Amino acid sequence: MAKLLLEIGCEELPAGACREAGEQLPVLVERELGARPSALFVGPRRLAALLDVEERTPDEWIKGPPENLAEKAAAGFAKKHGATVEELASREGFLGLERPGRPLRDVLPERVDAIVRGLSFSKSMRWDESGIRFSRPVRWTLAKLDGDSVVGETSFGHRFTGGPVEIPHAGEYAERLRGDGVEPDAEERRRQTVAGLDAIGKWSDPAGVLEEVVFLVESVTVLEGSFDERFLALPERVVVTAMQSHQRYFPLGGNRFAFVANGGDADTVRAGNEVVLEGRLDDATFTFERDVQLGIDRLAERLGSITFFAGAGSFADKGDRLRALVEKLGGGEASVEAARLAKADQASELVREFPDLEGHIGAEYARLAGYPEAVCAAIDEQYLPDAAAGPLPQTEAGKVLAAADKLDTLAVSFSLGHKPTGSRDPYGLRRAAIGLCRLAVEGGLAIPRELMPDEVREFVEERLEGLIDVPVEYVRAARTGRPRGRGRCAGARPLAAARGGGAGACRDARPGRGLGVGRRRRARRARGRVGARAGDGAVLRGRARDGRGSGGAGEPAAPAARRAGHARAPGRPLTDPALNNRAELFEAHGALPHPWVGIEIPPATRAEPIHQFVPCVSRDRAGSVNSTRRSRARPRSR
Amino acid sequence: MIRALEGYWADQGCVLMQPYHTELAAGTMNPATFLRCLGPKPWKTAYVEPVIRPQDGRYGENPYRFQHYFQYQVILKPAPEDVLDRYFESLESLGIDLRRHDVRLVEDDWEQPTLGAWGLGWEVWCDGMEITQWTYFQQLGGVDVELVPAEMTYGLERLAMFLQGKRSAFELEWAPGVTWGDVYRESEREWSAYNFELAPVDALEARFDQHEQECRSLVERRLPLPAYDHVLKCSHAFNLLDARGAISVTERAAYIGRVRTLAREVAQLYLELESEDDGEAAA
Repeated sequence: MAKLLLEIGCEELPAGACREAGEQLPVLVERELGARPSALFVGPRRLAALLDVEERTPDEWIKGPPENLAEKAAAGFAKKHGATVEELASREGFLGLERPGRPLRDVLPERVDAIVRGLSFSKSMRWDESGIRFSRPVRWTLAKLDGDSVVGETSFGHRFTGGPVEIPHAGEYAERLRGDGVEPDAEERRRQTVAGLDAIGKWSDPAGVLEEVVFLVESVTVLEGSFDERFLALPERVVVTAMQSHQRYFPLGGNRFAFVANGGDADTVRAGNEVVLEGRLDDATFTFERDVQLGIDRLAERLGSITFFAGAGSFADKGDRLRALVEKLGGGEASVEAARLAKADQASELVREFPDLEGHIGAEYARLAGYPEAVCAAIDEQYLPDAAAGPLPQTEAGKVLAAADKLDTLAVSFSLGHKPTGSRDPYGLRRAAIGLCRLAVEGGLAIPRELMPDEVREFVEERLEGLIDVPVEYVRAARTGRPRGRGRCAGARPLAAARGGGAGACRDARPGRGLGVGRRRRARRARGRVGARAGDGAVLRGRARDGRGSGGAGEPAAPAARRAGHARAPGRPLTDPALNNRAELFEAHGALPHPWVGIEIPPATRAEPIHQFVPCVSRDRAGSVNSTRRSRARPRSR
Repeated sequence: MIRALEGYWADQGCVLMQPYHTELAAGTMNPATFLRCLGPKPWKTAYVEPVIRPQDGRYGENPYRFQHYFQYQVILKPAPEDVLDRYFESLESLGIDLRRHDVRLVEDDWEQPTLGAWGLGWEVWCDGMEITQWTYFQQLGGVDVELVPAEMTYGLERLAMFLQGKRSAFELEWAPGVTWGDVYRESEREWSAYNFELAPVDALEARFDQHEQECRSLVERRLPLPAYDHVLKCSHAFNLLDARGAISVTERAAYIGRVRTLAREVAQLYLELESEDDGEAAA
């Protein structure tokens, strides 16, 4: 056995590329070199692996045609493998070629090349005529078998303080680099960063920049800085965003922050970073003061000249529609006032600089103007939930306004033909629809179905199918019509209502049992079959759900449908003749209609809280292969 | 500072160009970059480019935002293997001690939708300040580049602020006893007024159409260089309309699409002519 070091030296890789490479490298190394790495080093300028290998590649038997076809096939087979017929051997009735193993050092160059070419990145580039695609240019490769350099000669140290680094033996790789001021191990850099931050004080990282910072440096120096206290007059989140998103700093509270440098003289680097942050805050203060001088009401007046969406009027029009919707949703005075001011910050300069803080900036301006807290909080919460698993608005007015905002965006986008197709959803409509469902299902907000145009309702209800924990066919049955003679899921029924335990209770109670992708896919398959049966609602699929009210006193005898479901062969649609009639279907589940879908939920599960919601759809595929989108929110232009 | 950069890059074999004669929103749009980076011919250049971004004006009141500022643009095509080292050496030629400062390359991928162009690269940070945008072009005018060029765009005001330790561009010493503000503040005020309040929307829309038409007819006559100027003029008209708030989100996409189409046609024509020339030269 020998120790093999493999190092791919690159120009500075982005953090995302480091993660991708870190996942693929062990698999590629095993494929090409026959062993998993015993250690992996991933950083911005180098990807490296250490492994124990045999010094010869294993003997190979290349199986050829059966002996009885030798006349016809032997020559062709031999030629294909660059051998003569005489070299062929025979084993177990088949001709074949014995390829003795080769010294590893002979094949290493091509294997290293295959590993480099085998790594794939969501964004990759060419840089020379080699045709290799990589996240950033590869500038050196090094392979050492114990003490011998097989590919390349040396490694390289820190970009500015180091030079070529001799690695006398593969096993001394990390040690030698450390001697040159480079920490090749990402885990160790993370540990050092956290330890350094802890030593400075109570740090926070709401935007999660730590994971990026670990891959931004090769040598960890944690430094502390501060800014002038006058900037504390800015909304805190503006300051935090400037620190985190723009500069990758860690707020320490008050006017202090910590950051990680890759080297340099501590005082010089600190002073420079302080100037930069103050510059950004100065810039923010400048725009903030201009906005505040105008005040939120004047900003709101300017909305008439800002287009919300071509064909859907201005933000002022949007505000009018929101007010109407809020009233229809039963919102109180605070939500109506909040609807009037909701989009005012779109006219502010600060939102142009900090687009992620829309809503929040408006809320801050409303606070400065002395509006009641209920109004300000609602403005703040209008975009929630802004991620599939993100938090919901906490205030009543906030929920109403958030729902109104999503209803309007959906209605407007659909009416203009901007429907999501496949994975393309540039306006985030899936997210909006799911948010709407969650406001209903989890937030307990009653959202009358007639507030949605048909197309939108279809779309939202499709999302709901995935969200609530009842077999998708039941939902579909309820959606396609009304149970005969009952009228229980009449169109005017709210999407979900906050009564009697609410639809929110119908979720599986165990954490992690949300809507997994697999389940969603099953649902989609099932739906396909339903479609073939013209939606008679009686095509069922089984689902074993041990957590769901099993043994609960109130649960009806396991419905025939479910029993049958357990028994059915996977992948085959199931039809239970006994339930062919939708009315009977609902009957079988007892008398209580689900507030929206018109079917009953076993009482045993009603009181169970929701633990977790797992996103099932709507992940924008930003930055897919070679897309020209940039990684962060706004493309830089020049 | 500019002299130091000119000296350094001239020594590296760059052709020193002068700023282009029509409004550009970036040094990249100068034909010395955009067109010369197409095709199989090596090219090295360096030049100062005043960039005009009507949207970014702040009436000379904000010390960090201007509708007119300077970039120093360097192109090495193809990018040599030690291109980053050469760039870092240029910083040293400006007197930046790379061992005392924290210089870092932070992921920043570039795209210019109006030109159908994109590339991967970084922002170069020096003690947290972005001093250069660094890009390996991959596509220009919708065409894959043949030799991958490295583009280095230094933000001259930023760099000067860093070197002079100034917190406002207006305080920069632009020449002995003369500040940047002395030279440009009034112009920022006046141009901001024009860009945001007075630029004539109807006339600009008409101008955009005219330039588009002229570009088309020049492409038909197989004159890519003059045609490209009209792409630039379209782009500037669009930027002004944008600053006037006269463009909605969807219109915006349509305008960008129109400019991109022109840029693509010009790029393709330029490549065609170049390969024809080569054919003749060979014959």
